[in-house]
Amino acid sequence: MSNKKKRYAMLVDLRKCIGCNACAVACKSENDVPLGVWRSWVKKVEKGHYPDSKEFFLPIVCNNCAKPICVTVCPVNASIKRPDGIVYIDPHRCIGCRYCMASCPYGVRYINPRKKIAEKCYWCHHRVDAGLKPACVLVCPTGAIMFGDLNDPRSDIAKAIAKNAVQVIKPDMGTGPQTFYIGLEQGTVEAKKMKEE
Amino acid sequence: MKSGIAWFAGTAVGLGSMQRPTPVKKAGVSRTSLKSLQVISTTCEQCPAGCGINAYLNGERLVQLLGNPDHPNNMGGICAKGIAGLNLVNDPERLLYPLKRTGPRGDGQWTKITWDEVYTTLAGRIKEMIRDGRISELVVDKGHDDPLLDKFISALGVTHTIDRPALKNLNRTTALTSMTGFPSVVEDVGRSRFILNFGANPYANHDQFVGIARRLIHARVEKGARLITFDVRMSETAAKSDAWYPIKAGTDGMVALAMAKVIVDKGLANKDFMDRKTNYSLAMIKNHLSRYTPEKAAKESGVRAVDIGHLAVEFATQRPSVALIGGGVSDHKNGTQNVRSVALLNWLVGNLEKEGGLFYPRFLVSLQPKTADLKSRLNSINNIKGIVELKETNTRINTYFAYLSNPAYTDPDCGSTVGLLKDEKSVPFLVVMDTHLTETAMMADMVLPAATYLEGWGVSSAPSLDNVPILNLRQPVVSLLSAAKVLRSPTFEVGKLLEPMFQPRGEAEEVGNVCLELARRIKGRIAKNLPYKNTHDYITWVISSIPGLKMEGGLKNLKSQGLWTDKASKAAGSRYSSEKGLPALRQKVEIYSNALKQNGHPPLPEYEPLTASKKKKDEFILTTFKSNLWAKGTANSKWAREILHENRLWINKDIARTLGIKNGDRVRVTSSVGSLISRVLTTHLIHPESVAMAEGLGHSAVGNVAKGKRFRGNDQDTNLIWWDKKGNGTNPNEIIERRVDPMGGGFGLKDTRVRIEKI
Repeated sequence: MSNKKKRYAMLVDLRKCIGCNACAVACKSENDVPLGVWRSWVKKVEKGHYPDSKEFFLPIVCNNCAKPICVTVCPVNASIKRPDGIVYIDPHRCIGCRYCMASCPYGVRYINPRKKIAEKCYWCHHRVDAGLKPACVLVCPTGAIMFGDLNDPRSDIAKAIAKNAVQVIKPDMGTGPQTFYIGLEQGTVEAKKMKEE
Repeated sequence: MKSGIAWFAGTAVGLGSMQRPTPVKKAGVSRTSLKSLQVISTTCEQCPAGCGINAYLNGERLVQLLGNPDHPNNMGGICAKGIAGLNLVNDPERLLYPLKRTGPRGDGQWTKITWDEVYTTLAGRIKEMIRDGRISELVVDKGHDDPLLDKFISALGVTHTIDRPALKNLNRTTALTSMTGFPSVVEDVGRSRFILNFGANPYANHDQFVGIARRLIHARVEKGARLITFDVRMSETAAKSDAWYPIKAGTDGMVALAMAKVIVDKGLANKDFMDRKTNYSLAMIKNHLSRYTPEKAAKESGVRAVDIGHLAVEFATQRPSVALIGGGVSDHKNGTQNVRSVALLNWLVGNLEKEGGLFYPRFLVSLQPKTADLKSRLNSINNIKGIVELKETNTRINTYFAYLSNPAYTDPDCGSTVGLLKDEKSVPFLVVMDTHLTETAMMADMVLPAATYLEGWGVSSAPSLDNVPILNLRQPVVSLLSAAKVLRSPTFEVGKLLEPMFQPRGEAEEVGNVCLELARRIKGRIAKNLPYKNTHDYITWVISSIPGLKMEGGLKNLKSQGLWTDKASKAAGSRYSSEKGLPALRQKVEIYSNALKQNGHPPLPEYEPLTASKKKKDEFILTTFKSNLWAKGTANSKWAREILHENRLWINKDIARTLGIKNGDRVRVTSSVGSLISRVLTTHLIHPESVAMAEGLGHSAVGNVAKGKRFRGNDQDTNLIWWDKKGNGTNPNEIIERRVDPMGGGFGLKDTRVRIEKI
């Protein structure tokens, strides 16, 4: 390992996602997320007309943006972007004002009903700092989720991003999301969930 | 002093370091204290796949279950059900003490009793039955495989065993046994180039779920294999296939036979394999297939004849190719023949013991199923399907013992099962052993708390996907040392200090230990047949008979690894080095099955149209499916139920519009056995003649999470149940007809014709 600055990123290969919810449940287990709120979930979307219809799965986590709006707006500096790119919330500083939730274009933040402070996915930085993979990456049955250092050209994620076309959610927001997707089709993000209409 | 010895024995179970798993330090970190965690590697039993899991312990508390990266099948991957196993162990609503009914049946009035009373009552009843030669009046309803329970059953000579794990896939296992001599095959999808999937859903629910999904995805994405799915609805697998062909329910066999005809007619079949390795030559099969033209199949199934033609050619030319067989094919009244027809496609391309095709499963030789048992299953009369069938044949029942089985909920037409179980005349004594107070347990006279799969010892040999036999060890991650046992012990205070895993779990007990104690109390021949002290003693005995394992560290090594692979085995690799390893290899593939002919069934793969086809505009065929969160052990899991708490009835959007039904409307679904009310999900993802519903919801017992009720308990989360207003879904088994495929003996669960009306 070199002392070079790290730049963490996540890559979700949608060609490999089978919509099994293992990432969502692993996240609940790893981070003790209460019922009713989510740091990670799988959105299921239906497109097309029978018999040319198709179902799509879209796992969603925090994008840990390169230019995070939530960090800019936080009045007490509780949302912090680390030099390696992970955006996290200092639970001791957060006052639960929900400003960050209102500003987030991705809706990945929630108020913890027990602690009354804002929380979100921070790529399991307690695991990453200990040299482990985030929980959702570890459990994914098909290996669809990758995590690693983009500044290290030998890392799996850097190689995969170099080899494939990648997309991000809502690039027009100018936030520079660091959660990348392979095979994200147009309209999947905007579409309503299968049950709603 | 007798009790002194009992004390000693009681503490020995908890304190003996010999009988405890050995936690090792592995990669894992506590989120709160940032300390690394202790790990015990064990085996998941939420489904039959037998994935290796790592149980993370913070001090003595079980905090997390994640995949074991060293397991060759799942390679660290684990599904949502496996992770949610934590909810099963830590469930505040678990059954923890033996109970006896005090009020009338089904009233839910209980009194706590001791295990001693349980053993006295049960041993007394069994002894009486043995003495009077009425052991046939004991019915054992086995919802989960346990080797000691099996040994106990065979020692007693129980004739009426309801074997739920075997019944689940009976049509498929019968069909495969009739052809290959073995009930299951391993589909080597990781090395295939072209995969035809008939009604299987390996991306959501499969006997080798994580392992096979991982290999299938790898083949598709990394190696460019093609996957084609036939299914009535867009399953998770169909969603991630290269093409989805919606097909009329129960007609897969016809499509497969038409494809077989195309392959044979175009001269693309593997003549060498057909003539040498099967008992029906290519010329003869050509003659047999002449009536199954693609045009006829198109008319029957709705899949175009052109598609059948080009898929058949691709299947035969894009080698290696494999045809997968799933519940969508086998769970019909013509299911056995459907499976045999799809299997024929595999034989036509020579798919047996071939890379990218099918393999016989590699088990450790000592844990291999016996050939005689497999043969006897072929006669469908030997498979008892439930209490309804027992009563139809006027079987007298004295005691009905159900272990991890919940027929009052899972049986098709469960209303009639409930009626029989509730009737004290038809079932005088009902004993249920389960982890929760299930629908069946609510009607029981005595309820026994079962230990979960994370609280006991076991060894099993899961079918290996890489053809190297695997021995899985299941070890207690959470101590079974009960509060009562500890309190009885004179060394209680000392014991607490010495026992780092002390964690009162009530008095839940492993079924193996219950059987052993009953055998000891019945005495005589039964006790002699079960000479083990406890389940740990039993697995030690099993392991001692495996020579290769002894060389590699024996039980001690197994405990720290959680599994062992038999790399030196004769069965390992893509070829058996001797036929002794597997007797089935000596015989030819029986396309013409003599065993089926003897039992009065057609010996060749044929197509029989179903009688339950659509007649009127508002009539549909009801298909049930298992979601990726479905498992018996997740019924009361908060994480699983939060994601899936509603099972709306899938209906084709165009058809719904003509019936005036909108998304979210409430409809009454009526079949010949009953009706239920459900909300509707209009979608373009289902065949217009079918409606579909997920299984595993709509519980009326088990627990408040399963019932979708918010409550205050030891777990703070249960007060946050937010879907209580939406209800907890409906149980489709209430309206499913009890149809049986006479050939295989399995249920035709996906054949029920239902009428739908808006309310």
